[in-house]
Amino acid sequence: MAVSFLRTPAIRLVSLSGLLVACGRLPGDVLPDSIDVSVLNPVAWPAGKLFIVSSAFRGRADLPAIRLDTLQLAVTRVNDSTVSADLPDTSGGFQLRLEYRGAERSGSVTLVGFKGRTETVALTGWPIPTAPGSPILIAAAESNLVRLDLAAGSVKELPIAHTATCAISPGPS
Amino acid sequence: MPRAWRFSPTVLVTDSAPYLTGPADRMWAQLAPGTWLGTAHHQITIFKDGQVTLRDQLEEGERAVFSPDRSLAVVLTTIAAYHVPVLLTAPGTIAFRLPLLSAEAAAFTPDVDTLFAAGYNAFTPGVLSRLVAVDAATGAVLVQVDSLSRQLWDMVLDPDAPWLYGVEVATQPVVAVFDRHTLQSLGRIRPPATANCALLLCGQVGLAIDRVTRSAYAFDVKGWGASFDGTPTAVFRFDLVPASQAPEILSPISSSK
Repeated sequence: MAVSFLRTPAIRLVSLSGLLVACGRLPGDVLPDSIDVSVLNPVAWPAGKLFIVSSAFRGRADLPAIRLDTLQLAVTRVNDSTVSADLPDTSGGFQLRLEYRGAERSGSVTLVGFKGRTETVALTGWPIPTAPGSPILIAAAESNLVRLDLAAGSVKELPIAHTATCAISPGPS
Repeated sequence: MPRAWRFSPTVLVTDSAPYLTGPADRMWAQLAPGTWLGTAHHQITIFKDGQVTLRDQLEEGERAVFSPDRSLAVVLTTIAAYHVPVLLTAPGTIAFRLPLLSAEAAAFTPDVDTLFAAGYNAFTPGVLSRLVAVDAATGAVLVQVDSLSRQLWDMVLDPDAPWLYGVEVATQPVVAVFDRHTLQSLGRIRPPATANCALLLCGQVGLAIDRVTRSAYAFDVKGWGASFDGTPTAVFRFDLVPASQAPEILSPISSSK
């Protein structure tokens, strides 16, 4: 009986319209443009997390849909006003799209990454940084020690003999 | 007769004192005035004023990492059967041992309150690498993570942000980023598939950062033990996330749904 009832086009249209209204968002529930949605770390680590904060998330259980270009990200609630999204293991600049409560926001995200590969003098053993983590190193070349500046790309020979047949690495003092 | 090289950027090499006659084919280091460290294939030996103060089984000790105040040192090793010792440099004795049977990466905080190290705590199949933070005064474990899928070969603390960087290697170096306080992973930076270590085999890969340009450098030293003499050292450069950044307010583009 119900099947034949819906076969009538006019009645079917009226019935489906009623369903659409029932499933639609009430006007008061749409996220207004006046409520900010912010990305806390628009420059982020690949394979890390993006953190997004808004008062719009407070007191609600639903989560926004977040895309990086065309990639849909997994979203997790962090606290009352913050959600996080899992970032892909890649780098570059991306367009961010966020959909929430019938509204859409956009921005840009940069995932830091590889900048280049160069080659420098042949070294042996472990170089010693001039300070912890410094890009300026004292390293052993094949017959002498060198001062290597990774940032500047410069190599300065030091008048200090070294051979890997004596000790593999230069020793700190 | 082995010789000890003593150097700094402004001091020329001087030969070792005559008492340094033990085998040391890996490294000599001066721990403190009168205290010397020699590392050989299977052990380390410390000499204090001409006397041996310590011998410990420790394989392939090719690097020593000092605390910024030079009071402590860790000799990085592939295997330390009695767990990796942390050395008091002045007396040449052991301060404490790390909960690690190997350590290929270590870093001290600038105020020497914490020591970070990574290595294995067992050598059985399937065991993952351990990253640990210990109290540098007592050796008490502060945080420990046993889930690193790859060994870290060097590590550097960010001087401007609470991040710890480590470098993993296979055919290319990958920079892993950790929260310094929790040791949880924050992300990783990898080169494209076409940028590999020379000979498609990473050697001894070190890590450095430039705090001014916010760059990280991983460098692949291939000529250890004169095995690959003449192979250029590959240097991989990566951008780092700024130490601080302003939030970005997203722009509304539609409210029609």
